[in-house]
Amino acid sequence: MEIQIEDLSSIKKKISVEIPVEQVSREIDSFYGELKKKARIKGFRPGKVPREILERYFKDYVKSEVTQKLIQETYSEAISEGHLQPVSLPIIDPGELEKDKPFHYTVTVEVKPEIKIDGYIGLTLEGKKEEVKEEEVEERLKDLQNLHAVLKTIPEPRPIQKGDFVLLDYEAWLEGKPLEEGKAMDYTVEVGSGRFIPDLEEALIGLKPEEEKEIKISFPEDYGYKKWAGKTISFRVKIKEIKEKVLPPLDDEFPRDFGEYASLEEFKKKLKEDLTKEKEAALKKDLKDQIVDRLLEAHPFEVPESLVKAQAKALVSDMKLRLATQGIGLKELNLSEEKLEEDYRELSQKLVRTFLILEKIANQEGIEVSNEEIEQRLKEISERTRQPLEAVRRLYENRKLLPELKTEILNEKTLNFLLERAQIQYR
Amino acid sequence: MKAPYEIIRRPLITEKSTQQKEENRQYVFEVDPEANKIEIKEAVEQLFRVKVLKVRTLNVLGKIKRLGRRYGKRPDWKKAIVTLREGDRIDFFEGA
Repeated sequence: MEIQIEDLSSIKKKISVEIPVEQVSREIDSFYGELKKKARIKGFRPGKVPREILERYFKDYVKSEVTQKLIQETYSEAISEGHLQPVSLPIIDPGELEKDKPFHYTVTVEVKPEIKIDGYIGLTLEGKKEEVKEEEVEERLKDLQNLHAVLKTIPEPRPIQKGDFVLLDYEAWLEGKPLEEGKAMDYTVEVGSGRFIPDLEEALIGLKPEEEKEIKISFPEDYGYKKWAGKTISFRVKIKEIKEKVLPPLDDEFPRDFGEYASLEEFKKKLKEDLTKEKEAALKKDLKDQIVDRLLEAHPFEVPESLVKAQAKALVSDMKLRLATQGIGLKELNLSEEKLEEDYRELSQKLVRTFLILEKIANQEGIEVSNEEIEQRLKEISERTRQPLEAVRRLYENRKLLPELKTEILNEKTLNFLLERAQIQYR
Repeated sequence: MKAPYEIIRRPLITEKSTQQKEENRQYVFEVDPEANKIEIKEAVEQLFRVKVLKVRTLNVLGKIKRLGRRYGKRPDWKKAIVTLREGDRIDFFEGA
């Protein structure tokens, strides 16, 4: 077998393979030998069909089969002999298979680009180190307070105010007819939140419990709900109850809901710690993004199209899965997979590039991922998702996600490696 | 006389005919039952551009076959064994 490799570009190689006559005829002969035993042709007993007759009947079949077999047998050999690591499916252009002639074929594959990465140690990065301010802690505390608020029916009847939660029945009428879809009992509206129909919420202000009122609302032409857009609909509203949001008092009792905290002060300290951690993580992420951007800028190279495509496909299917959990299909959003893949192209290209660069650096620096590290990561996942470790491992093994996990860890390690050696200037 | 392609209906390719072809340059055909040896000879010479030395013919009687209670008969046909001059040959392509 003889091979010749031709560079079509830095990432595309064309391999020409020549298979010598002897091997070709040996394959053809053995194939006919097999065929002879099995072929049933009228006028002949099985196994007694002469070769010429077989050839006449099965010439094209044998040709395509033997071509395929020869390519299959020699392809991997050709790849390893040429020291290539294809990343795409090969595009094979088989030549004509002829008896008593060597067989030629050419294969075009995409390979990982030969890239040279340097100057990645001691990158200068800019980061903003921010101290956690007291106000931020207060804000976080207020959010939590809001989250833990309870609704209480007001003791004395009074007109509705902004911020009240109103329990009401309503019925929508359009041109004297009730609308099926615009009817509800015991519906709770937060007045002033704009989450129901903003104009209607506005109109509720000042009403009292047990009061009934008809409110006319004109919907704009571009209203989200198509059926009601541009129409005037009257709502018959009956107020049942008015509720107020009661915030829990911020005392030493308050943190009890969140864990073992002795006092509010201690809880605040914990919140501050959390915020500091969040900020640090954000800073780290920002710095890593900078590293990636810097590396991408410094190392332009061609990216194998097949990798980009695969990446885009993965992104799209990820998104589809996410949407599916919310019960939304692509069609409802007027999107098609092809279009999304096109939209994700640039991002995919960047991801692939990043991946290739990081891989190369890891290779040059001898950064590796050990089995213990994978195990550790699985443990983390199992803790986060509250699944038994075994279940997580099985899931990853079954879906063949372990290599992916490994690259993920490798990328992280490489980035950390770069971050440790970078010069960071804090503003 | 009929056209050559009407006289020669199809070549008969079997283990036996292959052997005869190889050993004695004898080619076997199914022919029009009405045709005689002379017509067959001329038809083969015209169709395949060869020289025919000898033609032997025989009538093959169709077998009687039964399907359930009904009897049927396969058609009778005429077989011709044609011997060619030394060096001549016919490449069968049809029927393949």
